[in-house]
Amino acid sequence: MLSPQTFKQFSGKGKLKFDREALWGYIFVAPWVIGFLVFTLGPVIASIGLSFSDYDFFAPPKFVGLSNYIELFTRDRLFLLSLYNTVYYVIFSVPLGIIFAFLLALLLNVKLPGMNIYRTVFYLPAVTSGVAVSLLWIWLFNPQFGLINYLLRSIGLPGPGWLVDPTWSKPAFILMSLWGVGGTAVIFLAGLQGVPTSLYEAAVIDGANTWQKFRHVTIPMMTPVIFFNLVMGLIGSFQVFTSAYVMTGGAPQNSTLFYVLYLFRQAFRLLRMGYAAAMAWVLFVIVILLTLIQFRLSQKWVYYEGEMMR
Amino acid sequence: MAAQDIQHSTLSRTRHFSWYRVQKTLSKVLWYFFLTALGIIFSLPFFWMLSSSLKVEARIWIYPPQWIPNPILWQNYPEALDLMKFWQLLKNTLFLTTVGTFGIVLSSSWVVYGFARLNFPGKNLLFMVLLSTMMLPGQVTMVPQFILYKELNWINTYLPLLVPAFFGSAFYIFLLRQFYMGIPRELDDAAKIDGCGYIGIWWRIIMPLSKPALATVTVFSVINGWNDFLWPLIILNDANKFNLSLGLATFRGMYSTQWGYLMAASVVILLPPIILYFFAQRLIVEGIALTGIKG
Amino acid sequence: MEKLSRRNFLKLASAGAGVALLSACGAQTQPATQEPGGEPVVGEPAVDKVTVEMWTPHPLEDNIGITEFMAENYLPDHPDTDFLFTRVPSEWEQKFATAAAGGTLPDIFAVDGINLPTFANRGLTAELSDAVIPQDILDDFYPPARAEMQFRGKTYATVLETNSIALRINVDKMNEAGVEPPETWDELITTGQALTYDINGNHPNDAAFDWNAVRQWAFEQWCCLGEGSVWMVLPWIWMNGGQVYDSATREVTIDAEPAVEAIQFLKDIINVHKIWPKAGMAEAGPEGTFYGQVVVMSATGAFDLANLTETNPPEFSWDIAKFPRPADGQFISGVGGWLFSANRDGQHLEQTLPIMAFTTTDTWQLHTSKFGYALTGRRSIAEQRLQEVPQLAVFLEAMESGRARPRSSQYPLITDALGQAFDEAIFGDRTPEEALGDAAPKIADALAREDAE
Repeated sequence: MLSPQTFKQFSGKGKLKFDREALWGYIFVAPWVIGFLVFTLGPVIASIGLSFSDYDFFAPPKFVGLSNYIELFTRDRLFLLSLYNTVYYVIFSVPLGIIFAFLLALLLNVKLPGMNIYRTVFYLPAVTSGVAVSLLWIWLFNPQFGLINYLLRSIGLPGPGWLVDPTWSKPAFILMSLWGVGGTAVIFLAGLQGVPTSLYEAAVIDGANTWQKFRHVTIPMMTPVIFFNLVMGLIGSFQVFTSAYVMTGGAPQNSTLFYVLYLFRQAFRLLRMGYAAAMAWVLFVIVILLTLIQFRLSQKWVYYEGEMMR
Repeated sequence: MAAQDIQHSTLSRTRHFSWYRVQKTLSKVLWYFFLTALGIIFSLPFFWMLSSSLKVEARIWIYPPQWIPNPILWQNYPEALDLMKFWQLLKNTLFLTTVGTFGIVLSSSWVVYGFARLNFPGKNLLFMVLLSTMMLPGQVTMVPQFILYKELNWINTYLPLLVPAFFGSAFYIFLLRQFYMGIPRELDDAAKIDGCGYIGIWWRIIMPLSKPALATVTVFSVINGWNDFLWPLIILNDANKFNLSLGLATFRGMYSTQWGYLMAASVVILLPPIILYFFAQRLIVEGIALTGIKG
Repeated sequence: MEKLSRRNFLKLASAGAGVALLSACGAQTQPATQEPGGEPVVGEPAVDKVTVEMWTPHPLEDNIGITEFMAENYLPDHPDTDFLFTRVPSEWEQKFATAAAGGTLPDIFAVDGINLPTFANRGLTAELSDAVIPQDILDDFYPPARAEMQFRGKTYATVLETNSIALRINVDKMNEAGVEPPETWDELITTGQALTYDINGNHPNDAAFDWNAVRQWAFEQWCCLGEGSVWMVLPWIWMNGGQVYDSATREVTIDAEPAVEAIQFLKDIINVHKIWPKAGMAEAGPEGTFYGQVVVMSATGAFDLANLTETNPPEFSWDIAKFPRPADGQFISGVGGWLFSANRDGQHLEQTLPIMAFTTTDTWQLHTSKFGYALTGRRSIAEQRLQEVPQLAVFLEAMESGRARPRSSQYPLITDALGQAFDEAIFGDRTPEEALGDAAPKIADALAREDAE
């Protein structure tokens, strides 16, 4: 990512070379930069300020220094628990989701009649509005009367407690997230289209079988998309909120108290917005560190066909 | 993958004719069977949703679960749509979604060209900043942003929902970047030799080649806009301006939920996006007629 | 071919977008307050009208046709006022918090009873003096409902809806098992065990009872996290003589013997007597299972009567019964609800306060109570409805003996601590002593914060 040429321009011994390309670079990204400055930067800085304050929405924020952060790290047992719950969720849902979505995309990437319908069916979960479906899942997961256990029992398996059992509540959410991989699969589908057929042809000429084609053509060409889904999956799943908010509120025994849910509770139930802001920034630091690590590692395994090493 | 299999078989056909055909047919059948089974499992919640939407409220919860409603309450559909003022909200949602998607696709594909193809000082830092805007939970910036919109006098209008769309969206910028960076540079250079400026390269080379990605972005953006809930809720005070998502919340009362209506309305609301996707698929999966390099 | 259609699409879309944006900018609302220059009523001089806005999460338009009602019964006598109602469809907290932070709260907003002390303390709600609500009307309110309207001796809100809690019961199933609604905790156990059975017909006191294959449960109630659940658990503690804290001395007694005993009882009816399933938390919990006839007795509030009598009548005979009480205790219910409060910083207080007063009048209360939207707070009105809805009787009795939730400006912190403790003790593995023991210092902390304000 940090190509020698960019580095030279940046650290420029002497003057900064503003060549035509750099100028156009700025012109192209300008809309985003302007939008960022106008709509995002101010609120972000405000939220940093809030993290050093006591704020209940009604009275102006009151500066309290580091006390929010101190309380978070020393006296809040639920902070660590919510972080654990979230990491647990992330560790399972992201890799499983990506693998499952990739397999799904491969399955759906065939030119058989009727594939349109199948692709639509698997994408359906991603289209439905969160709340109605979350409510539906509550019923589906009901240990006594829900559909899932009904089906499990009909093939002779015991039905676990799901949303009622602290051991099974997070797996329930992970299962739900797998159901929603349609979106990720669509991104993989689009990525599979970008793999040049010429490469496959060349591989066949070299005597490659299906597996070898997959391993040496498909996967390397798909690494940019895999990387995207990995990074976005991480960022997104760390902020898992709506499903838990609608379905369990953190129960049973806080086993589904995810980080952002706890943050929400602090902000809007307990009216401690400053504390919630501190929580948000702690999460931010964690996520950005993980993302930076991912970007650093990506140099080893992500292949961009259009990126020449300059 | 199967596309390549078909090519492979052309070579092998001369050697193992009938065995291969049998194998191919068998694998097709297995493919369909497996996909159908998986598809049914995936769709079970929707079958249940459909089934519940036609049931007498009190019977939705009986055990063992009953799939076929008896009696079938077709009237749940017109009644639900009427209660939530469906047509007005549909108009609103169509407007918001169309304008929003247009803004997002246009601006994101423009911005990402700078990040993916051009070099300028501070590019990587700026890109990291862009990514990091997605890492801060929205609940925390929500209040300061609301105050910002209030100062602009944009409360209870569609402006906070539409204007930011024209300034690029981090998620889609990142997505398109991954695609753009997979497009070979030789094409850019060829176009430059032909006298294209950067805008020309963007419009003539990059955009057409990223059709699957653009189609994906369009579909995603439409669906997100369609289901957008929180910001419309806190910005809009006038019920006539609500979108379909907010309208759906009508059925969740203070102490009880009207399940039949909620399910019926949910079924209707998910139809337009899924129909859009059904047709957009062609652009995503089967779409592109390209130059020689991509075959 | 595709390129062409994309180009066309872009052209069309940009044209459409342009038109639409222009119209959106044009249609920008005036600030949500002043609407100068109203329509003159025929024969009367033109008056400057002020629009009073009201927000609630309750669907008052659908349920009681509030706009029309106000137009017919209030606006003619107040030519300087117009009325605009908006229902906030959900996520009330976030909408309210952002509006409060941004200063865009309406003239009248709904408040959950437990939050009124917080808002009153912060000076968010306007005080309603004797001039606004006459004393004799105030006295007509049930004591717990009145308590919810007040804070530190002053009135800050009027009742939107108030509820007491009781049990709804499936009469058919009770007759089938040949039992009567239980009155004491001991009876709850025996009746409950008669009403609970597994798929083979075994009851909890049978050796062969399969806890994982229960076909019908006797009892269920909302529990435990969240305000709605805490509200339903507290009466059990009160009935046993316990208290969260003493309002006079501010001493926290949630971890004392009576409260611990009550929570232990609730824990036991799940794990020992097995008449209450653990799956009671979810949205489709008590609501779904009572209607689905898998639970016989289900805790509910007066708000449910509309459902039971009109919107969604069950397909079996039902009735309302009191919560069972300890053998030596008395029936105490919990009272909670939502209130109307006037925005003290609103720009139209002069027109708003009369509307607040109007919500306590006979006209208003009779109208709103007709549609089964819980109780409206005044005894004389509630009793008039008894004729149409006899099942109201238990709820009214509950209102007499009921208690409002503790009045503290830090109540959200308190309820959070309580909810955690209840969840851990009743549905979890901790003992009531431990869980409540953890909650006590948190509650003491909250009270200390309040005292420091």
